Amino acid sequence: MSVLRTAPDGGDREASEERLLDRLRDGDEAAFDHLVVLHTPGLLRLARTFVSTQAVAEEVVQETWLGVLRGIDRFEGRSSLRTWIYRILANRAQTRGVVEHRTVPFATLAGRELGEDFTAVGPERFLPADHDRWPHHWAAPPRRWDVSPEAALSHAETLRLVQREIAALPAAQRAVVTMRDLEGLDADEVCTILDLTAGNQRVLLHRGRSRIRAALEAHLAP
Amino acid sequence: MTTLPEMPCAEFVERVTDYLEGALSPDDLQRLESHLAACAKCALYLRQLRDTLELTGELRDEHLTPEMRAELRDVFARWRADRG
Repeated sequence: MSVLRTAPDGGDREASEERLLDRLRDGDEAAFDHLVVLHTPGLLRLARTFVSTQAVAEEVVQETWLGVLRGIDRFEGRSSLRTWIYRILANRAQTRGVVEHRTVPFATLAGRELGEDFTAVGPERFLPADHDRWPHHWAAPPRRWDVSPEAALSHAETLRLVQREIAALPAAQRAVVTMRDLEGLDADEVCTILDLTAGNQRVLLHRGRSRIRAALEAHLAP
Repeated sequence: MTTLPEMPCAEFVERVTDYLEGALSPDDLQRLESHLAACAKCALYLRQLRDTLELTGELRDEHLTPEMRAELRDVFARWRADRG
């Protein structure tokens, strides 16, 4: 199994991916199964940000894997294998969502969200611009949240809260936060997968993360 | 908000993601870090944001249903058969 271990970035990763691809092109089922186990849970989560039901998400993931297999001879390794697979998923899921009239293209969603006014923390929590000593400094500072065993929410409840908040995020922020903070993809990968500029990716990440922090503060601070 | 020589808290909370992403200009990085060193409230804010990321990461669930895995094996078998 050591050959299939996911190597860190760089030459190791490329070499181990190359071997995996060779085995896949040779029709090695174990190589495919390895990739499936590694990526399917994350692909399903991303698919769910584009389509409305788990059943449709599963279909999209199946189509993605078929797309991966059919495209495997054309994959040239310009991006990592993972980025390439996720990109196929994003394209399929969006096509599917649009066909089902359940969603508008991701670029449109992202554009809308980026055009909205946003503050990470309500402006009323800062001192006014004309404050003589501390303009724009905290008036109502962040409230410390209680994570002790006696806290209002148990750890499991806190995780459920985070999950609900992610689900409630606007779609583009949900996709970016899911890929970055849940799947652990890096910024460049997310930009490639979702066709976002580096700056817009950061803005969406910032808004999504800030909203989740605010919700945790609201629920966890005594 | 006009850019003040020292970074106020209201700016800090909007720049903190750029900071964590290593995307601040050297000037802004310096402004942010000197603010952070002096402001316990913003230091708490940053800790809460890091806690938020950690909690989000805990939601990662690697479970794959046996049904899905079996369906994908079928996808593979059909592809291999077509490929000849």
